[in-house]
Amino acid sequence: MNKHQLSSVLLILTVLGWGVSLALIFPEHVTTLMAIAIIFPMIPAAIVIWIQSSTVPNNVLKEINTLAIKIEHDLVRDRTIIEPNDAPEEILPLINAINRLLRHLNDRYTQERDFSAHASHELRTPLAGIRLQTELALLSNEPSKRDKALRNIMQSVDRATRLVEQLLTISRLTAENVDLATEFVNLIALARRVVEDHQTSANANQVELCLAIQPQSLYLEASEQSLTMLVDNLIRNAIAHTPAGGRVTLGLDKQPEQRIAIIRVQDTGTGIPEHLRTRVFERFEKVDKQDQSGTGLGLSIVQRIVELHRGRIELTDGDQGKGLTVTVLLPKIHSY
Amino acid sequence: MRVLVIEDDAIIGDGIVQALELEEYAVDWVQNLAMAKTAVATNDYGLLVLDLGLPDGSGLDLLINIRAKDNDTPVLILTAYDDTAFKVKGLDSGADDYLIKPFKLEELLARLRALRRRAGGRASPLLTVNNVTLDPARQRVTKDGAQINIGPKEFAILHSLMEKPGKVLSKTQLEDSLYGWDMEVESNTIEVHIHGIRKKLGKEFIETLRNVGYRINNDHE
Repeated sequence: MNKHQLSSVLLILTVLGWGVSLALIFPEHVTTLMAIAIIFPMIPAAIVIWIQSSTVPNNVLKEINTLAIKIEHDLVRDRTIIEPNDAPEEILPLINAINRLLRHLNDRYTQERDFSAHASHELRTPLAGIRLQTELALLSNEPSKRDKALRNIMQSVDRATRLVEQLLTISRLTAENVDLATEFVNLIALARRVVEDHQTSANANQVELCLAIQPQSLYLEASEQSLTMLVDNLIRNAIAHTPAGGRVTLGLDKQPEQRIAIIRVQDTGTGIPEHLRTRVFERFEKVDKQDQSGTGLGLSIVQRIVELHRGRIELTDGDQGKGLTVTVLLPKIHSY
Repeated sequence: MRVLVIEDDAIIGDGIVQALELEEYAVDWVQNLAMAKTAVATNDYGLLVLDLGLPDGSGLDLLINIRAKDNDTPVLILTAYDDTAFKVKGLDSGADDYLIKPFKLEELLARLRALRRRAGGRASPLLTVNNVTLDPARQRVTKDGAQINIGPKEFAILHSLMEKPGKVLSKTQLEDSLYGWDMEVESNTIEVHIHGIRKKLGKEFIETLRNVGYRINNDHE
């Protein structure tokens, strides 16, 4: 009930009250009084009805109209939040809802803009390398110098390619509606495959890469492609940040009661200081600033995949406090 | 002329060093802010090529730092940040030029030549002393209008001396302008090159001040 309705009801009750009291005092005039008591309250009621039916809705309509013009002209272009000011309370919920939508759009827009600014900066670096080294190769007559330039170009191309792949992956995974296309994934087979893929680079870095698989079988309802990417990124990171002579272990385990699969990547490398362990999930964030092979997107991708699978990820110290342990818990294991 | 290249990317840094050495600059290359600060404090550079996004901070810090100490070495910012706001901030913090990656090598080299020219207080791209003219862009020297064949190191020495006619440059200063950190310097190189230049341009063109250094005398002054 709004202010107008409340006041008209009170007015009617008051006038009715007077009528009844007068009828009790002057019983001989009861019919006249009854007539007055019935007709009299109708006058303010009629006034109230008139006000409600014309003036107030007109104000609200006018306000809605102004709002529509505002949305049309300003908001669509600038996405500025609407100030409620003296808007009638009837349309406040509408204004609030529009403001919520605007805030969401603004956040999204800022994210997109930051992302493309970062992405273009990251891509310009390998491109600058390619361009520069190509010019040097063309200028040089010495075969050894030309070979070196060509090797540098190849390295820059690889880096740019990886960056583009990672950029596409992250934008695909952070879209509004991600279709994961889940199936029953044999996690043990997947782990063996990824480890095999990285054996060469581990050998080249003189890092021992091993598997530690506890369960006999481990099937999970998940997206096979995403999980491959997840494990691949974690192993790649671990190898890249483990000095020669170190070890990287991919472990698999399960908690059958909660139907949870555990993927654990442990290394003896440089680790991540505790205060930076939440920051590393941010896009383009690199803990090792000297690192030029990394894209700064790997852990963002991993975190997003975990999120889409409603799982959990934890970063802790590595074996005996050295290096890093990444633990991923994923629900929905299937008992075959 | 000695140039400090501050660039964290290994492939770009290596490329810039090679390119500048082809133009006979003496080049020192550092990959982080801390080393750049030490290098600037301990050496006398004619130009700085500065990347902004360095592993241990922003190149702008170094720029603001050296300008606060009245160091007026020309600085070219070479960065992947293409935003206008970054350019404005870089130039307003004391940079003399701003080039965005990826860049064309010839453009970088031309911009550096322009900075060097302006730092010497000249607008003309050619250096002329008496009857000798030096063209930095084309690496050419003429005497009385006739082209002189001159070696790259000889050219670099002549360029340094002709930039400031009448000013004495010591043997060490000339060596510093010819060789970066990673280059071997032979003990009598400067003498050998000076001898070479004199043979081509005339004995009196470069004057030797015993135990002090060398200078070019501008007859018209």
